[in-house]
Amino acid sequence: MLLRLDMASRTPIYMQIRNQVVLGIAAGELAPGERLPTIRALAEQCGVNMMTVSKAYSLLRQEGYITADRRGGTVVSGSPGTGALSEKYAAALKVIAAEARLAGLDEEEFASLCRQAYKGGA
Amino acid sequence: MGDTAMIIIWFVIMFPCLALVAALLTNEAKPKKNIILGVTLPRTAQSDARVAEIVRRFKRNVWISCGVSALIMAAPALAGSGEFIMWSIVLLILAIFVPYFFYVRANRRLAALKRAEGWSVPYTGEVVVDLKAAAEPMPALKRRAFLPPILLAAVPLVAALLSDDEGTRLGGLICFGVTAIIGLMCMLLYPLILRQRGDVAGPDSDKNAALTRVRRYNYGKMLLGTSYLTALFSLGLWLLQDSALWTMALTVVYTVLLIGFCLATEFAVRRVQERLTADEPGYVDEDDLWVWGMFYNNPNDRHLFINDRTGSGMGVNIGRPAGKAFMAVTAALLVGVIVVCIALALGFSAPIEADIEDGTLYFRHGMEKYEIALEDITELDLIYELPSARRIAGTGLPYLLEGRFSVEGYENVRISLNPEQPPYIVVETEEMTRIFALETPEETEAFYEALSAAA
Repeated sequence: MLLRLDMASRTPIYMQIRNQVVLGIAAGELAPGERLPTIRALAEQCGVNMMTVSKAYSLLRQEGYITADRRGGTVVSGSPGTGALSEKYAAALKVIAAEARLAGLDEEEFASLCRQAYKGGA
Repeated sequence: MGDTAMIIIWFVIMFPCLALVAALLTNEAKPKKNIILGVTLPRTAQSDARVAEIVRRFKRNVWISCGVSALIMAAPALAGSGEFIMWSIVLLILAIFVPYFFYVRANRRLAALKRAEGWSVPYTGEVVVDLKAAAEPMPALKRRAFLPPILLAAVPLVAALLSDDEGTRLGGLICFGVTAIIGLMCMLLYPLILRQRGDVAGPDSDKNAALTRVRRYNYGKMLLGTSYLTALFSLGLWLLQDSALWTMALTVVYTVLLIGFCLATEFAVRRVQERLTADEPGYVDEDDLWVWGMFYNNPNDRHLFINDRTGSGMGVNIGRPAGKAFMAVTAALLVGVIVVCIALALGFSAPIEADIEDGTLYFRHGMEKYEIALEDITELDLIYELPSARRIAGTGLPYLLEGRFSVEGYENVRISLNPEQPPYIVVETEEMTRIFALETPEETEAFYEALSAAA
C-alpha cells in the first residue's frame, strides 16, 4: 500500500497517515495481521519527526485499527467492528452533508456520492 | 620521469573523466522509474517524437561538448606549456560543467513540453512511501565488515607516525591519514542509506522492496569495496614509497580500479531500475521537488542527505539550511581548487628572486618565500648532484621540485630547484635545510660565491 503525504496540505501529517491507513484497511490493501513499519522506520522513510508517526499510530491504536506489542511490532488488527461511527466522525459527516447541501447537491446526489465513497473503501 | 611520460599518464587519468561524465549523463536519457532527464513522464509520453528529439539533441550536444573540451584541455600540453597540469585541471573542472548545462536545458524543455501537453501521473507533488516495503526487514552490512580495511589502512599510518624522521612523519600523516579517513568515512556513510526513503515505482510492493534492496546492496558494496581498495592502495604506497615510478603506477591502477568498480555498481543499479520499471505506466511524480531535475529542494523533509531518484548515488536536500550550507561549501571548494591551480600555474613560471641584503638572504619563487639571517647559517654548500629525494608536500614536476621533501643526508628540508639543472645551493640552519637554485647554473654559482663571501 502506498502512503501519500502532501507536505503542503493543511491536514496535519499525522492525520494524513491515520486517514490513509484507515482507507487502506477498508480497501483491503492492508490485511489484518499485516505488519506496519516501526515508528522510527516510517519517520525516516517519510522524512518526518518520529513524534508525528507516533501520534498517528497512537490514534490508530486508540481507534482499534492497529495493535502494538514489544515483540510483534505494530500490526493491522482490521476493522474495530463497533457497528457505529464514533461521535467525532458522525459530526464530521454532518458537516460534509451540510457543505454538500450548500454546494447545491440534492439528497440523492449526496447519497450517491456517499455510496461511491463507501464502495470504494469496501 | 620525462615530460612525455608525465603527459601520457596525466591524460590517461584525465580524459576518461570527461567520457565518464558524458556516459553517466546520457544514461539519464534512458527511462528509469519513468524518469527521463529528471522529468517524470507517463509511459505513453515516453515514445512521443518530441521527447525523442529532445533526448537525441541532448546526447549529441553532450558528446560534442566533451570532444571539444578534450581538444581544449590538450592545448596547454601540446603547446608545451610547463604548467600544463595546473591549466588542464582548471579546464577539466570547467569542462565537466558544460554537459550539465545541456542536461539542465533538456530538462527544462522536457518539463515545458510535459506542462503544455498536460502529461501527469497519479501521484504528483506528494511524498510517497510504500508501507509494506518499509515494513520489510532489509539485509544490511554489519559495521564490523568495515573494520579489516580500516585496520589495514592504519598500519602504514602508525608506521609513519613512529618514524624518527620528521619528514616521513609529516608525509605519512598527510598521505596515509587521507587513506585511513576514506576507510573510516565509508563506514560512517553506510548507515545513511538505511535511513533513506525506499524506492517507489508503482503499486507493487514486492517490486518496490526489490528496488530498495538492490540500491542498498550496491551502495554497501561500493563503500565496502572502496574501503578495501583504499586500504590496499595505502599498503602498496607504504611498501613502494621509495620509487616514484611505482608510486605513480600504483596511483593510476588504484584510480582506474576505484572508478571502474564504482561505475560498475552504479550501472548495475541503473540497469535493474530500468528493467524492473520498464512496464510501469508511471505512478509517482516528484519533479516539483527537484530543481532542474538535479537538486532536491524540500524544506518539509527532515533528511539532509537523500537518494538520487535514479542510480545509487545520494544528494543533499537544499531545502534545509544545512543543505544550503553544504552546497555553498562545495561550490567554494571548487572555486578554491580553480584559484589555487591558477596561482600555482602562475607561480611555476614566476621568476626566481634571490638576494642578500642587510645580513639576510631573501628567496622568492611563486608561493615559496623565505628569509634567512646570515648569522643563523650553520652550513653552506654547493652540490652538483641532488641526493635521493622524496616529496612530502609540494610540487614534483620534471622541471621543478618545490616544497617539503625528505632528502637523504639532510633533516627537515624545503627545496626549490630544477632537478635537470645543477648545481644547487644548500643552506643549513639549526631548524631547517634549504636547497635551491636560480634560473641558470651560472647564476646559481655566482650567487653561491656572493653568499659564501657574505656569510
